[in-house]
Amino acid sequence: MNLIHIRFTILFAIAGLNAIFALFVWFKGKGREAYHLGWLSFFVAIFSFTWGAVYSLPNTLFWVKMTWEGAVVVAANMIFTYAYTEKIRFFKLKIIVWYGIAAVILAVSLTTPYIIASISNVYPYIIAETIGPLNQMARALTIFGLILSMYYSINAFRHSSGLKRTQLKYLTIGFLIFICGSVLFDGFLPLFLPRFFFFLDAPVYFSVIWLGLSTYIIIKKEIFNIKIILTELLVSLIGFLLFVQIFFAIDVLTQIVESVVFILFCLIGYLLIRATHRNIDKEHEAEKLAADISYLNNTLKDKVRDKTYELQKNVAELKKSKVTLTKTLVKVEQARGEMETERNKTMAIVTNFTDGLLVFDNEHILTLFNPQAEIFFGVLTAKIIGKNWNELKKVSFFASLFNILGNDDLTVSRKELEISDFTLEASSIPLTAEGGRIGTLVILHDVTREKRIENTKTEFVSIAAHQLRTPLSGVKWALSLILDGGLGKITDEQKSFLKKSYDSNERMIILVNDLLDVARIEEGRYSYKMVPTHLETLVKTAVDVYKELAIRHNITIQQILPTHSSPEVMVDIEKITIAMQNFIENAIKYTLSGGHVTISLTYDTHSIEFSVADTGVGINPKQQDRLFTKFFRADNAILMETDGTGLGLFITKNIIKAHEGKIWFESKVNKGSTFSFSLPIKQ
Amino acid sequence: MKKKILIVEDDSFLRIVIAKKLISSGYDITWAANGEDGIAMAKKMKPDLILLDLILPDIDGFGVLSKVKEDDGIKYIPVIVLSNLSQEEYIQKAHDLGAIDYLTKASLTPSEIIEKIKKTIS
Repeated sequence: MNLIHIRFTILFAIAGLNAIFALFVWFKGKGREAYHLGWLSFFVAIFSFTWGAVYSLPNTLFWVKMTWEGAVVVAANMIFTYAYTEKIRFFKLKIIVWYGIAAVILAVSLTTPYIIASISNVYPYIIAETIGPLNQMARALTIFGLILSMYYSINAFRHSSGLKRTQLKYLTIGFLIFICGSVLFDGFLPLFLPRFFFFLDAPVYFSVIWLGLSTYIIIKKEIFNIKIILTELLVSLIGFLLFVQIFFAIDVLTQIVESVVFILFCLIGYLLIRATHRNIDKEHEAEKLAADISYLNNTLKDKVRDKTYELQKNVAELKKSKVTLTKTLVKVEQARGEMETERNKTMAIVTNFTDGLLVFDNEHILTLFNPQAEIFFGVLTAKIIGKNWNELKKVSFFASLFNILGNDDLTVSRKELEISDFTLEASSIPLTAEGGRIGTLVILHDVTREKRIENTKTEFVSIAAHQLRTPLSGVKWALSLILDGGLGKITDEQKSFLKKSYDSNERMIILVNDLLDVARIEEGRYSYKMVPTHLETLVKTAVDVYKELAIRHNITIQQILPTHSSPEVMVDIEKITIAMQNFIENAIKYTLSGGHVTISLTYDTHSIEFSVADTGVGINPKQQDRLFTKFFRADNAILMETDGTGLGLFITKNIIKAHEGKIWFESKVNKGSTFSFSLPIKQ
Repeated sequence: MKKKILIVEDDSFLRIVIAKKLISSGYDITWAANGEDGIAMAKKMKPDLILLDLILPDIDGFGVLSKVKEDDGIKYIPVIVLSNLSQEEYIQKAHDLGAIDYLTKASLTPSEIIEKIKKTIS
């Protein structure tokens, strides 16, 4: 047996080993990478067989051309690398492209002389190739493929971690050896040193190393459990050999010994397989654990990364918020400053206010007491601030103030309050802020001086009225006595003159009465005694008074009263009568002879209305808005009656106002006027 | 028997006019020009009615009214206030003190006053 025999025997053995490995992988393996590893192994088997054939079978040229099946091995290697490193985008396209290129190269090699032109046996086991024109290109393509798959592996290794990294490490080392060997012995060396054609089959041997490492990582990757299979195979093979040996034993003793050995071996074999199983199981567990840890680790890393990102985002947002907040704070500070200024202004006003100001909160606690209030009450703020009503009642004049304010929180308007030497007008108003009540403001206005003047005025008016009325009364009584014949008979002419004097005196009395009324209205002392009344009676009384006057003026009076009794209304009989009489008197006075005056009383559920319509001179529209003002008399009225006071309608308006009623009129010059008032009917 | 009326009035002209009217209407009259005299006359004469003015030189009409109403001997005598003060508070005060009526001089003729008196002491 010479060297060439040993060589092709090894090559065939490697071919067989690869073929078996391919079958194992296909049948036992799972997933994409196992499938393509199977193909790789299968093509390596063919490659090995081809090289074996080169050295042992006839038609050497064909087998040498066939060695370009190495291109298919490179393609299969590319595809496996893709599958293993999970570069599976356009995977089918990649398969077609790579296998396509390899198939073309192989086909070109087999059918044309462009890659290998011819061969010559330089030596029985050295085959020299005469290369064809495409040889270099095919070689470059093949080397490119190898280097590319190498690059992918290294790249995948660099970006991997954990178990995968370990696996890729072995795969990459295997590649490195396989590729370097192949490139060296099949690529470069033969180009420069023809004697290296002797080692063109070198890739086959390197493939064994690569295959071994691949197998190792496949075991690690659990594609299938080759350890057990190998153990089982080995045990079965040895067992079978030992068993066969029993039958070829020289003697019985040897046969017994060999049987014992066989049985022992079976036992040991069984234990070995079991131990291997357990070992594998433990490895599985450990690997699973490692994978779990790795997974957890990765998950944790992911989570940490996510959280970090989130945190960074939050920090960024916080920074943004901080900026906004700072800006807001600056604004708030500015606003605070402005508010402070405003507050100081307000406080200055409050402090220097000539009215006494008190503020109570919703719990009736005194929260503000200004200097003027201190003067009124004769107590210092410090002694009473923060106290509630119950505590304050014991202090100086607070009790009388609270009597006026009452316990309910209603608005109080200008109620008189006597505190030591002061006469004050106390008003209280609710303090509101943002729609809610925050307390009560009490304002004490000093009216001591006004009060004094008012008292003097009242006194004056009373005395003046008395002093004026006394002589007027004397004249009235005396004339009345004479006219009644109480002092003897008088002539008609005397009577006429005396009557005129009497009337003039009456007008004076009315004027004084009106002035007195006006004074009292303005003082707010025109008091009302409200009693429930049917207005018809008052209308009749009022009309009766003026019947005589109407006859004198040649004016007809018509009364329109409700057919059913009108509802009672609360009125001051005397004052409402005055109001009615003022209307009627005006109507008669300012209507020309032959005119009509219509007095009517109507009502609905809410109010009762009294109207006096005349066919008189009317009121100039320009003067209408001044009609209810004091001492006002319309131009056409003055022409007709010189002795009016201009106070009647002013008084009437005030009377109606005091009854919460309405007063109005309609008028057309030379057509007539209608004066009306209505009073509310309170249920 | 004629009814006796006491007039307490400081203004002599008014006093004369009303006195004349009362006499012609069939009353006996007696008079006083101030408060003190008025009270004294009331006690002495025990009139059937007092016509009382309010503004008087010494004690005013209200003072006279109170004294009359405090004195058990004369408090039964009806008092009509006849004044030129027409403010409600005075009217109220007079009623409170026991006056039977309150007449305003300027708004009534002597005849009307007699009517009121008749109604009171008929």
